[in-house]
Amino acid sequence: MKQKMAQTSLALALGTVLATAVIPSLAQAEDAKEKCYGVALQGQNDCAAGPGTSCAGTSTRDYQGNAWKLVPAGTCEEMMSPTSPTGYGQLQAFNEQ
Amino acid sequence: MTVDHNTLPARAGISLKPMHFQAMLTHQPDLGFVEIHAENYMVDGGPYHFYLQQIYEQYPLSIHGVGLSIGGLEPLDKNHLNRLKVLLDRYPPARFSEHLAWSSHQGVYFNDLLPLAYTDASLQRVCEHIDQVQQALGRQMLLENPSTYVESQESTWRETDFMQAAIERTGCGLLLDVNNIYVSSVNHHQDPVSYLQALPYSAAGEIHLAGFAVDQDVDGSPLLIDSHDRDISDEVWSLYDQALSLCGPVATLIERDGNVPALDVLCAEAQMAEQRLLSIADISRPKVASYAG
Amino acid sequence: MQAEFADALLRRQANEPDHLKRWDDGATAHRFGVYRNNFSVSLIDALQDIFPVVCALTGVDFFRALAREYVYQHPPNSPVLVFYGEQFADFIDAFEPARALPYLADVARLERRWLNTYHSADCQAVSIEQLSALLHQPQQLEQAKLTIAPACQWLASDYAVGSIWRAHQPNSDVTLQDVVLNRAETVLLTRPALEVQLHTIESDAGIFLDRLRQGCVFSEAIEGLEFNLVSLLQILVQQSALTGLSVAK
Repeated sequence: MKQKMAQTSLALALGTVLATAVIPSLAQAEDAKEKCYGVALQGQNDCAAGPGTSCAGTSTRDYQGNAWKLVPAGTCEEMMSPTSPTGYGQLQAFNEQ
Repeated sequence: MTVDHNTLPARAGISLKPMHFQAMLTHQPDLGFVEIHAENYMVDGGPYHFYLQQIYEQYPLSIHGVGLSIGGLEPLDKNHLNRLKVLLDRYPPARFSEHLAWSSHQGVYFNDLLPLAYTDASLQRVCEHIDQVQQALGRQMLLENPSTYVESQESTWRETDFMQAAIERTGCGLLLDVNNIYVSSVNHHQDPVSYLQALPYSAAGEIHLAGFAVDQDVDGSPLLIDSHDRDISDEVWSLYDQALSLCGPVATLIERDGNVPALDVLCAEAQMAEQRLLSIADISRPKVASYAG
Repeated sequence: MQAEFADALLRRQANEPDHLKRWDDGATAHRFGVYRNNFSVSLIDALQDIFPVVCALTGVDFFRALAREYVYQHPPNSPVLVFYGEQFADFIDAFEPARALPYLADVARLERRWLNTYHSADCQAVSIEQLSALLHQPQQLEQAKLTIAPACQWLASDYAVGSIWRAHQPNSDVTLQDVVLNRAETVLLTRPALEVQLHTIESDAGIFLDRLRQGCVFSEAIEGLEFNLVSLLQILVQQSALTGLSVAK
């Protein structure tokens, strides 16, 4: 019974998608690439691509803050829900054992 | 116009950085070549290959490896060598280069170019590794002189002699990094010009220029960090002039890894190198009689 | 010298290795410190590039301290740094000082997958003509194998990871204050051309995709699940995420 349902549902669902969806053509895919160009040219290159390698040393000093004495203090604070039953708001430093 | 991918012209080039992909294609700056780090393009697909393919169609390419660990104690990582081969087959470059340094040990990659002791045994190993790379890639590689912050008590060779021996035994070329010469020389209280003269500079197939940061040693003397994150210093420009007078015009890269400025700023620095290349080319080129009219 | 050098780099408290030399035979600890610093800072920087939303959530100081612990416990094993941080999310899960932010590990999972999607192989999607042709043999579709593009990645979370991620993107229509943190979300990442797209899907749709990728045929994959198949197929087709649909002969 279940199988029969599944069978009709893929045929039907695919039929519905093909009948109604706006399918990107190859030309539109190229357009999308061009668009990415344009957007980035305006200085909004948000294509965060991860780290690049370097064959250089760094002049940035590692200040070695101790994670066990620090409290997360970023945008997490803006999202704290006082009514949250799970108590996200209890940000506090853990003491190193 | 088709690009000649067989030779790196004796002109100036820049490091290709992702933030400049689009600007490179839009503005098409007049550059001799671009250089990429091999490891950044060891991905299957996506924007990096989309852009590199188009830039490759317009500029000669130099591929610079940072992760082979040529100076490592252990055998080369075969997987990494394979990845390199795949990349070089996809974008056959005019030059491929790597470093006289190690970066991996027992499966850990340290993401830094670490110094080795210069001994008969390490020379043997380095030469075997270079042979293996040249064989796998089916081409000559260039070996870059390192910048270092310590030396080894175990060394029985001078760095320059070691470089020369490796180059003679393997037939590889030299990537003459002028900034590295300056950084190492200051750090080890040597004369940079003597160091330059002791290198097998006639084997140079490419030159690197970059900026360094100044730290302080415990005794207050300057300790230079090869940081590639700022303009090239006057001292390095003048050492570059000396290098050109020794080896003639050689393709020169403005290397930039940190605080990467706008594309036109990098191109302007490349232009400074190119002017020096042109003037040295004028001197070294045999004069051909020109017929007016 | 290399084994000792490597060992000293990996152990933060270790002295510098023997056999280092300074030009005047003076102390080498400060010189070796340059290498220590290059190692830790460059890899902490790499993690910060891979996990920008985790960093925004915790703040830079906490993030860099967290990342430093990770670097020393899980240094990279490959020079291809774009794939570094594979265990970062699991590490956060077990990291006591981060326990106040229970959603943090899943945000890290999402960011790691986002980068995998960004760099994954380019694929040819199944054409509309091919799909239409299959509609003429509806009885066989039951046993069809659907192949999903390698760029497609998804994540089921007990938290609103997709909304949290969106709220940290420039020009986002989701604001942090509106995010209901402990609302479960399943997110799907696609890359139709060059840009990664994030979609929120039903949790059963995520299970369906899991089964397809394991190699189940359609009827096996959909068994016992309740979700809007049309909506999911719409995303897959429009995002060029369906790369194969084969029916048994």
